[in-house]
Parts: sequence; C-alpha cells; structure tokens
Amino acid sequence: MTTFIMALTVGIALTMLVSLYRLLHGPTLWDRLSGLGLVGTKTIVLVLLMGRITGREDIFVDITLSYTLISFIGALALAKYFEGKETGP
Amino acid sequence: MSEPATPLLFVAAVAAWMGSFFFLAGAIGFLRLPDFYTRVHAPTKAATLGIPLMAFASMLVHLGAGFEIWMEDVLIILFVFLTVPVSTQILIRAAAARKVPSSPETVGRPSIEPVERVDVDRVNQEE
Repeated sequence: MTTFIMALTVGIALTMLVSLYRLLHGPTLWDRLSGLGLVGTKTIVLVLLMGRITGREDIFVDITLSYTLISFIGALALAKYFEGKETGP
Repeated sequence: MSEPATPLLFVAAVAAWMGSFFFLAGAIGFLRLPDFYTRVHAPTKAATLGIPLMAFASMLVHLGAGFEIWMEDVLIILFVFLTVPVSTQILIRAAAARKVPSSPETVGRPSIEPVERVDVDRVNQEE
C-alpha cells in the first residue's frame, strides 16, 4: 500500500506543478488567485497522504483540518481585497 | 510492507483513484480553457469532488486500521463542501465586478454591476 500512496503523492505533486504554471503566468490577477486556490487544495490532499506515509496520521489530520480553514479565509480575504482595489486586470 | 487486500481497502483505493482523476482533470482544464470564467470551473470541480473522495478514502483506511480519528475526515468533507463553492462564487463576483475580459467563444456575459465602494483614502484626503 505504501507504493500505491507514493504513486498518488507523486502524481498529485505533478498536477500541482501544472497549476503552478497558471499561478506564475496567469494573464489576469484572478487567474493567479484561483491558481493559488488550486495549489492550496492539492496541498490539503498532499498533507493527508504524507500522514499516511510517515505513519503519524493523528497529527497530520489536524494539520489538514486547520489548513483547510486557513486556505478558505485567505481566499476570501484576497478576493474581497482585490475587488475593492482600482488596479488593472 | 504488504497488507491483506480487505474489501474496505479496495473501496478506499477506488475512491483515491477517482479523487486523483478529478485532480488531473482540474489541472488540465485549468491549463487549457480559454478565459477566466470558464477556467475557474476546473479547480472548483477538483476541490469539491477531489478532496471529499480522498478524505473518504483516508476515512476508510483509518477505520480499517482501527484509528479513532476518522471523524476528522468527516469534518474535512463537510467543511470543503460548505466552503469551496462560497469562496469560488465570491471570487467570480469580484472578478465580474472588476470587468475581467471573457473570450468571444464563451456564451453569456457577466451581468454584475461593480460594487459601489467608498474610497476611504480619498474621503480622508478631502476632509
């Protein structure tokens, strides 16, 4: 089962690289923001899998739950901040 | 380390495969769709279907291993189902209010008027 989880972790890290491209080269600011959301989403699952690999699920599940909270509040605050700002796209 | 393939672990593996498929589909769609309004659809699909499936697989593995922490996986699923659509909708409303351009192939135009906001710095300077 460790090989299976290792393969899943590597695959999700590769798709994270794909969304990192949109985060760095996004045509508009909003593409970068949603790319940040996607990277955060994949980090959540990556931390869950890391917990299974290292065998310390009891700690890593707590980290996952709090990371979900922080990612939600961060996305909300950034969207509201840039909505009120008079900058270009 | 090889564990016996119980039916619980089999279901968990199928759920993990489906979740990672949705992550792959989200990444490809995020890379290839033409403009912001269509592009934001892909990461949301990855989040609302990928994370719950993965957390469901994690919950089954924890249940099979006899851990007491499977309730936290249920909390992750509930929380993601509640928050991801909300944050995506707020992001799209903000982008539509900022009049982000959409590609001509996209059917339908955003019809949200910009939010009337008081520029606090300007008001302070005028006073």
